[in-house]
Amino acid sequence: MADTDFDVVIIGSGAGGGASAWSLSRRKIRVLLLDAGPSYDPSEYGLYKTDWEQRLFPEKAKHRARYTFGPMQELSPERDGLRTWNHLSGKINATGRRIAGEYYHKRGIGGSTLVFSGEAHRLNPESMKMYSRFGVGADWPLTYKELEAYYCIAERIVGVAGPPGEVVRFRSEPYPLPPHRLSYASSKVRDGCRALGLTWVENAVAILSRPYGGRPECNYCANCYRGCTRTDKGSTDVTFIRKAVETGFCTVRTDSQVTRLEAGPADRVTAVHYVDGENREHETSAGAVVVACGAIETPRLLLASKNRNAPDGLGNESGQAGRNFMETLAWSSTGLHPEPLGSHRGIPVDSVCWDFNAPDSMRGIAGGCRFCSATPEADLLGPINYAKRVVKGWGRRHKEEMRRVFGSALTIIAMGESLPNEKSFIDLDPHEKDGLGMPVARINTFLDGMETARLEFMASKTREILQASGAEKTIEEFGTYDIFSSTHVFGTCRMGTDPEQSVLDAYGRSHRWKNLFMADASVFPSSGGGESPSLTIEALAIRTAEHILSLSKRGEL
Amino acid sequence: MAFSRRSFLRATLGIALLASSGYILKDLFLPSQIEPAKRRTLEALLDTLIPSDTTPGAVQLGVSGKILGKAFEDGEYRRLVRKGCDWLDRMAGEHNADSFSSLGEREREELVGQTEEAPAGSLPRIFFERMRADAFFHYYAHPASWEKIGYTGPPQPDGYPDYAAAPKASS
Repeated sequence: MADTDFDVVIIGSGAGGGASAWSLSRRKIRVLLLDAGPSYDPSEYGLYKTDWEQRLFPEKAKHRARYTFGPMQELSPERDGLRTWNHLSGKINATGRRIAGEYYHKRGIGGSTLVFSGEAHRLNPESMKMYSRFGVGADWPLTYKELEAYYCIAERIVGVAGPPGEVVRFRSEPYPLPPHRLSYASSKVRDGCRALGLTWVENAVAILSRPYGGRPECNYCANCYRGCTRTDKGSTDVTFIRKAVETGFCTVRTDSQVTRLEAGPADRVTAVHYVDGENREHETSAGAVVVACGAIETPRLLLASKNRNAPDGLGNESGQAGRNFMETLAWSSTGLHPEPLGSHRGIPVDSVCWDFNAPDSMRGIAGGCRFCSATPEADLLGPINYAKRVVKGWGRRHKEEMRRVFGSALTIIAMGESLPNEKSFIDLDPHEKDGLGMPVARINTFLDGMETARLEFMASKTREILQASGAEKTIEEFGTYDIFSSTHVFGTCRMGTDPEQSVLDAYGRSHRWKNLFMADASVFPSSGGGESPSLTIEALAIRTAEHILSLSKRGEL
Repeated sequence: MAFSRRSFLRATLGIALLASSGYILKDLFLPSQIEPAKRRTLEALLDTLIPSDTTPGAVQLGVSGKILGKAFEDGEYRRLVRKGCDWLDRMAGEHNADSFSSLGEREREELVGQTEEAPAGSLPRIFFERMRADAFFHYYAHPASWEKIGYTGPPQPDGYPDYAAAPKASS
């Protein structure tokens, strides 16, 4: 197929790009799906090897997106209880300033879903009206009710297993699969939470509890973030994109980094420029362009695409492209239980407490949070990490202690709302460029008083749950107060009704550029109260794709 | 320093083996550029950090080979290993021993304890922390180290279908 034969070009193949590709190609729309990374073979994830714990996801350095950080904020001695520490190595950040950690972003077919933990959450409808209710952030220009049918579609494609009895998030149909049983370790947390009067339920996850859609059920190895060897985890490479390719209407090109979008006359994007793995330059055009590179790389591409038709960057007429950056607000506490729990087994995040998820749950603090049992997320899955991080000392006593404590770690994690502020935004680094000469994204991040107050609540409640679960000694705590560390990022091309305050309309379409759409969490006007975003990204992407189809039929693209 | 023909052959042979034969051959044959006496010191240190009891010690499970392999590839690491072993041997001299490896177990433990307690950022402390971390990193990647701690990995292909039950007691 020649590069001019596509109806839609999609950039990025994670949750949004993958869902867009499937939604369009199943309607016989000819799609070109470009990704800067390779295609991975799940059998090569290394979990069969004895040295598996020494390995992470097999990403090659050349596929890693580069980014820099703006100045980091000073830390307050009054918030010392929010510092990251380990009982053997002390404070991980020993400085007086917040330090730059990592943005956990993956390039490659499947994007960051290749390494996600499979959580498949719907947003709390109450958290979609943060400005109207609390005067912070922005309202969503659509309602939960409008999104609900698309959530159902996404859940069916990726195969979500979840519990019955949902109250807050209206469901028009049950989860496609029954929930996973709790791990033995998480049953201790459930009991502890019940003693505290908290509600503890199975988590909704895109991890198969039964064979489904030609994929096998999970065997509970807990290593989702090293890549799912069995393909039971619903990453987009084995779900949406596999189905899209099967239609015959989706062409996938790997190692293809888009460097620029051409802002043409008449408010249309006229070309997509990309470079392949052999450093050959390509140019393609299409009726519509969907950008789905994540909330850091998407504004980077828009801002790098400025020309005389878009002098401030593509889609940046309001100055909002890259603004309103919302990051991951997280806390985790790990302790040792007196009983061996085998806590390296199960699925990474199998159970959750939603009691504080509504945005008015914390007195005097806008925005919610949730708590979960997540020992695998702390990478306490094998003996190497126990030997290095959990058990003190060396010699015979260390070996004996290893035999006593292995598998007894319990980790509770809290994830919270992140609200935008003036000092948190993405721009282009004026000095740093990548190997193709494209300016890299610069992450400017700041946690204001409301964020740290929310983190204080999260840390305090996490410790309470850990103690109630029977953990006797806390050995490690990690928080995003003193270390920037984000798996979920949001808001940098937000949807809205006012073109002065947003980049996109309620369907993810640029207010000005009529054939330009976004399909990742950059479109989120608010982050939600700690929900994982992939399912919402997929639901929005399917809705956006339906809109593209409808515009196309009406000749309005 | 002149680059001798022998060192050239040794290096190229090592690289060829590494390229063609994988990690095990590399462990056995790569020239480490750490002298035999210092290797003995390193091995004694590793077996002090992870001695044999009902399961094998560090050297028996090939940990020293991994560290020597790393020392061959990484000049800075090699210098750290050399200087750290020198320090241990010097301290052993204060116990009237020829070298760290000729000390008895209790004296070796005492000296390792001193490296652990050395000031943060000092050579012995950096050496200790790196060797401790690397010894555990390689030792606990070996299945022979797993049985007594109740670990039944690797994670695949079997997974942990018994995940909802209390773990079985290890033998």
